[in-house]
Amino acid sequence: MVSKRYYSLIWITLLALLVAVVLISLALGPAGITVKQTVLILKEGPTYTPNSNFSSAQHRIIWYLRLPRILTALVAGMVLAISGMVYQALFRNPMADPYVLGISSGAAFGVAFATFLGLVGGATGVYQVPVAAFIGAIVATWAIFILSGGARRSPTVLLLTGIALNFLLSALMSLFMYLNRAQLHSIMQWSMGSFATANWEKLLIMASVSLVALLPITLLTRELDILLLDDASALSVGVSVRRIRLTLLILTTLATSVTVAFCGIIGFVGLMVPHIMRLVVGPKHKNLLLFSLLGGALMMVTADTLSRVVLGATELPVGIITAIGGSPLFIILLIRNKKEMG
Amino acid sequence: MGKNVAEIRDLNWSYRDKPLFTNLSATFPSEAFISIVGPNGSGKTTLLRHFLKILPPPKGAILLEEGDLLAYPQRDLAKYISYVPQQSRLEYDFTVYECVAMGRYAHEKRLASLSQNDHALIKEALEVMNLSSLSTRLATELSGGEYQRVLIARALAQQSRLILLDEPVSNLDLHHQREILTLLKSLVNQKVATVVCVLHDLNTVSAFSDLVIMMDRGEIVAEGSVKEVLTKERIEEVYHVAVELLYPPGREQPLVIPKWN
Repeated sequence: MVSKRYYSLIWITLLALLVAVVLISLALGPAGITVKQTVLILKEGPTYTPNSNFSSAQHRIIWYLRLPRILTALVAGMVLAISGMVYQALFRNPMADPYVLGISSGAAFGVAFATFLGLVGGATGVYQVPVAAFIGAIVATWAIFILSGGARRSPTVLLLTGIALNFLLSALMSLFMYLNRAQLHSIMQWSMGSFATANWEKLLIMASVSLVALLPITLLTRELDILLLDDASALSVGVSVRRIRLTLLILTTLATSVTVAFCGIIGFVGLMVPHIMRLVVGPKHKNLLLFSLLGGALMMVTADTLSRVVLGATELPVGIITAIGGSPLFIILLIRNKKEMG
Repeated sequence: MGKNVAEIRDLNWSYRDKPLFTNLSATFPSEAFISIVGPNGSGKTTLLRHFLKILPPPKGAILLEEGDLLAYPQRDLAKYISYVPQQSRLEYDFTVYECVAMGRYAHEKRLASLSQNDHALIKEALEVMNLSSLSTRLATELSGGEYQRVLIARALAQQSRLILLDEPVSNLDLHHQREILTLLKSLVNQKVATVVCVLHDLNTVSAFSDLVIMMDRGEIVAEGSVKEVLTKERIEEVYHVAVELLYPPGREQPLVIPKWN
């Protein structure tokens, strides 16, 4: 058995890393702001008073462009990692994740469909987009659960259903783009994933919805452990499997969809983070949750920082970075799973 | 109810429009070793699953001490009934101790960590099942027999008065079969719990049971003591295999010898 001190040490290390990456990410970019200036700007607060250390433009870049963006990435990373962790327990499948299962695509499709119908757009979008995303994601979750036979069938059926759903939804989104080229760019944005349009208002909505959705999950870690057993065993020790599963599905789908609504589809973070963390702290969700929160934030802020700098002046959609990192892991897991089941 | 720990009253249940149970009734007396036997597909597992609400029985069909089983919240039900499934793979790296601790869920207070009492009961269950030395091992690394013992330890930690087991010894060698069955029997003798076992081997049934329920195609064809239920005619009729019953000297229960040719 590993001691609590060992866990705390790793957790604090991760936290320190996260703080470091956030600071570096804040300072990094063409505006030529140093880490020292960044710290001073942060200390200054959101309103600028003229001084000799930094300019008003630099202050604005940090406070109104980079900080909301980085915090958005941080929240998105946490949400996707926890969602992945919960889906993996609910479907009793270590390869489940909002992206792989097609739930993120469902949310993006909801937004694309609403855009196509002219229901969202303009200034009101801040509230309507998440609603459209949630409806799309709930329908996708429901479809995947029904079509794959829930947690009872083989893991392969679940993954194949998710892949099929992804095919269908991305085909439909391409159709919308084809039919209405004027919206091409805004629909594209959701299918690629990016934090470029982040601002404080969106961050506030996203963070509060995520908090409401994730907080109850922190109270259900014991149930998540027990859900890894077969249904009969979980029921026999006293977990109301159906009710708990439904509650968790709705909460994670809510958190995932609000992330997709503001940041688009970002794949594989939900797959990678809980996996890596399970290797570090084991399968108990009480620990796994705490570590996945940090791990998700760390991975997403890092990926977003990379997306801003790898190509120099042009920015990459962050979804490309996470996919390049995540798909090899997915394939490795697939091969390993096949061996175990074969 | 009185001395009964559970009672099934006119249970009707269909699987995909095909009726399996029609007016099925049975009583499970307290502190007895009860065996359920019958050919594959006769509804034994299905019957056990009704007790977990995994297949919810119709209203009023299963009665426990305080009335309808359906009226028990899942947690309260877990304090009354525990269950050892036939096959249950856990593919995650929980330790043996953590697996057994899951049996305490119904007794835990939300958000509180396991109490002194919980830990004591978990240790006791591990001790009884001869698992103390394996408590920090990963459940994924255990042999079939060891894992079966973990499942039973989990049920013991649950402190329920009715333990349902679905073929608990089918995958075990003779030594481990005897170990587990004598342990279950001692729980009954010490009046700790009532044990209901789905069993296949009629000689095991004969050696351990206080009460035998024989099922065939969704019906209870006989219910009573070993001698009453395990008769040559009935076994031959239900299993379609010719048998001979032997009564070795000094033993009251019969040995069942199938005639293979």
